[in-house]
Amino acid sequence: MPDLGEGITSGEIKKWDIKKGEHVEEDQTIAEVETDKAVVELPAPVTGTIEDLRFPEGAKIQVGDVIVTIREEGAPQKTAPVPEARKPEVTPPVKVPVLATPSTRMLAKQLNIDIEKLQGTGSGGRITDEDVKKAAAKPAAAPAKAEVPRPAPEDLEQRIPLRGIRKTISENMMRSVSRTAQVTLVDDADLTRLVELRESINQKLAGKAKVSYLAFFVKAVVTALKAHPMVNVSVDDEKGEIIVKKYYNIGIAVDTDRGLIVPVLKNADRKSIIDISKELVELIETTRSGKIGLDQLRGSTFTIANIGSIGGLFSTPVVNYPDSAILEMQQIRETPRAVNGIVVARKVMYLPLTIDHRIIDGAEGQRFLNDVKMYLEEPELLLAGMA
Amino acid sequence: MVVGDIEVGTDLLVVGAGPAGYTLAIRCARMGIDVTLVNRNELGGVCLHKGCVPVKTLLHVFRLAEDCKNASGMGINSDGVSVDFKKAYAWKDTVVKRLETGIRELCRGSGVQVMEGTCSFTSSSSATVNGPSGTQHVVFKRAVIATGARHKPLPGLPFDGKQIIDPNEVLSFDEKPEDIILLGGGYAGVTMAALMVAQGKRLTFIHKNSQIMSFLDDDLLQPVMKKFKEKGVKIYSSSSWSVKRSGDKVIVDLGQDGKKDSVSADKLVPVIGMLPNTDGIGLENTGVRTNKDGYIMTDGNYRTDDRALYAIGDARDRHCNASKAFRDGMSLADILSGKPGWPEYIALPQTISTEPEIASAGLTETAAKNAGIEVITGKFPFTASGKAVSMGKTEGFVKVVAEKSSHRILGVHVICTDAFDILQEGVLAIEMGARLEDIALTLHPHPTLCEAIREACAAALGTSTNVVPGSS
Repeated sequence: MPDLGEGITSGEIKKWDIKKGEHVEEDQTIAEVETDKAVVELPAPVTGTIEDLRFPEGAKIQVGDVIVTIREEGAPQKTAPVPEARKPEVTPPVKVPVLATPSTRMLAKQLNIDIEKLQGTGSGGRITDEDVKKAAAKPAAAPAKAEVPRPAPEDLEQRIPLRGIRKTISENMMRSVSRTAQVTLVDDADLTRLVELRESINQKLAGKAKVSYLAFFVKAVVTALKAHPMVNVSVDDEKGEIIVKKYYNIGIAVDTDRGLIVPVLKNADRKSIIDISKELVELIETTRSGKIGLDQLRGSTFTIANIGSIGGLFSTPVVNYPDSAILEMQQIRETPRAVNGIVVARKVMYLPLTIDHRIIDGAEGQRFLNDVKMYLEEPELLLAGMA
Repeated sequence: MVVGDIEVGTDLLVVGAGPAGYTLAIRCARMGIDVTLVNRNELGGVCLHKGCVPVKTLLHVFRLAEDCKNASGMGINSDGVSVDFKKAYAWKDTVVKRLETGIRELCRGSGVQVMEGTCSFTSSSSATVNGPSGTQHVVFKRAVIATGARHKPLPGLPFDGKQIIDPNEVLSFDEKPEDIILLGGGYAGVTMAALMVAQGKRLTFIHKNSQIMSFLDDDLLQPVMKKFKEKGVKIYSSSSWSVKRSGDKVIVDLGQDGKKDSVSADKLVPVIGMLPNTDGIGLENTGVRTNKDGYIMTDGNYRTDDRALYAIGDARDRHCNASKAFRDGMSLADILSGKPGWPEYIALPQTISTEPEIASAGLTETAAKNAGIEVITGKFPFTASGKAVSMGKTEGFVKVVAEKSSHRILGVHVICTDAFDILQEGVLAIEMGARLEDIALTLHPHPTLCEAIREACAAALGTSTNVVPGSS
């Protein structure tokens, strides 16, 4: 069916005015086609004999469908009419082209701006990069607005722009979830001895310093990472390579009033538990005060989060991409536990470990977690430098 | 699937390794896409094997010899200069081979997997490739059809290699002085005519339109037509023709302005247009649609009606042009990697290997006037160019076409020796939206042929000091 204009793309064959084998003259009506606008008479494009009617009366046809073949007189079979449904190849009308350099036209394309519609502010009406950027910065056109739900009265809803740290957190979380295959393994550890050891050390330090649970966790994790190098990894998605890291930078998830921020404790393997404790205090304070530098937020190889101070039984932390694993510290709870056949009250913590299952198999993750658990349950091993 | 077949999986299947296909494949591979490039035979397509490159190489050889012969007045002893056809063709083959090796190395170095064979789609996600190593099945996520185009035969008179000659075979014509008829007055026809004249053929050139290459202004053709006539080419314009064989001769009957005429020759080379290579590649097994001439229909982003398939180059566009094919390849590569693709270009450079050469970009004076655009033009003849005079090559001129109100340059047309290489200033001017003044006020190296573009702009502004006003 030829392009009938006025945006008509389809129609229905109301009636054939000719039969197979009949002779037709050019421009003789061969069919009546009903479109959503009108009934249109289709003329024969050539003089000849009807070879085939491709559709019955009542059939739906599209612009560009071959509906009839006509053997042109004195010529081989000609299929007609076969005009194009769309006109991608029709030479555009000759006109003075838009006044903008190729790079400005590329910019418009990238920003999805129809450069033909812009008024240039440059010399002689030249469209500049700035003109294009200005057009791109304008609010979306009316149809897009219509799709946005009508805002509720202010007292029922409040709209807060997603920006700043919240936007970064949101993007990081989505990137982590969309690029990795995360699975969470949960174990628990009896921290009774760790609690006693920490108290005894802090008594001895007598206020000169204080060791934190977090510092023991950092040390336990680093020690276990050394035994399980394939947990201290990230994936270079572009090159398709696994990067095995021989340095141990531990990200510490810090809750601030601006949102979750993860500063990094660098080279934790080279530091003592007391040094780690001191550094963590500074790092967390700097973070909460908003004075943390960008270089202190980069380069983690493994992350520890601590939700235990707030509560909860256990959680499923999201990997701090591009790290491949994250350990959550839960609450230490006094729990009945069987020790040598006798039920006693022990100080127990759930330990959820989320791993990127693309790289770390469940078995390897659990072996790593077993080691962390061992070092936490027998913290003397850490002090003895068995790391 | 037949037992024993190997199934190849690929993210992107590119069918055809001409300028469009190989450019796309290399760029996609460099952006990290897994690409398989299937090609029927050599890499490089018509451009490298049957078109631009070999034609230009052979013409260079023939013209070098002729230049020597014509240079006795410059003090060159050129007695006995002649072209050894065998060696000239071997040189052409060396050039083509070297460039093909370059493309092959680029593909290899970029990580493109190259498969040799004829590709046929079996669905919107699979194809078979019949090659020297048997049949292979390929499963793909997306595919690009870049199969190019070929010369159209005369209806009912297929190419026979003896009397009705495929234009591609002109590239291997020997030195026998034969009578040859060339049918068709388009871009490819004129190029082939120029080559046959250089080969020493006695040529009759028959075209249907009122003039040869009707897309160019009349004056742009004059130097070329003059040269053809000097070389003894007979030119006929005919509203109709019919071809018949008679013994070892081919006869063309012409209907010219009501008169009948008849021309006979040893061979006939019909150069009557191109046919896209979209038949026999299994498109019926996909959702791809073609127009009535067989060209693949796509949207503005090269996408066909089959959402997994794309088409670029001559298979989707009757304006067979290598510059455009390279650009299609680059642009679609960006689109396939999630970018917006390249913007529309304004000027498509056209290069015609005649003597002298014609290189043209943008609007002609006629096209602008027909579109209702008021223009001014400026011309500069090479008889007034110091460089051209020193080379003894003063045929031709530069013509610029600019919008009258703004002086914005809309078209640049160069007719001279080495026209291809000096056109680019004009293409850039059109794309940048430059005005006549921008070029006229820019210093040009001296003595050069490209000064002529500046002079033509100055002539349009009435400020040229190198031509006598009103002389062009």
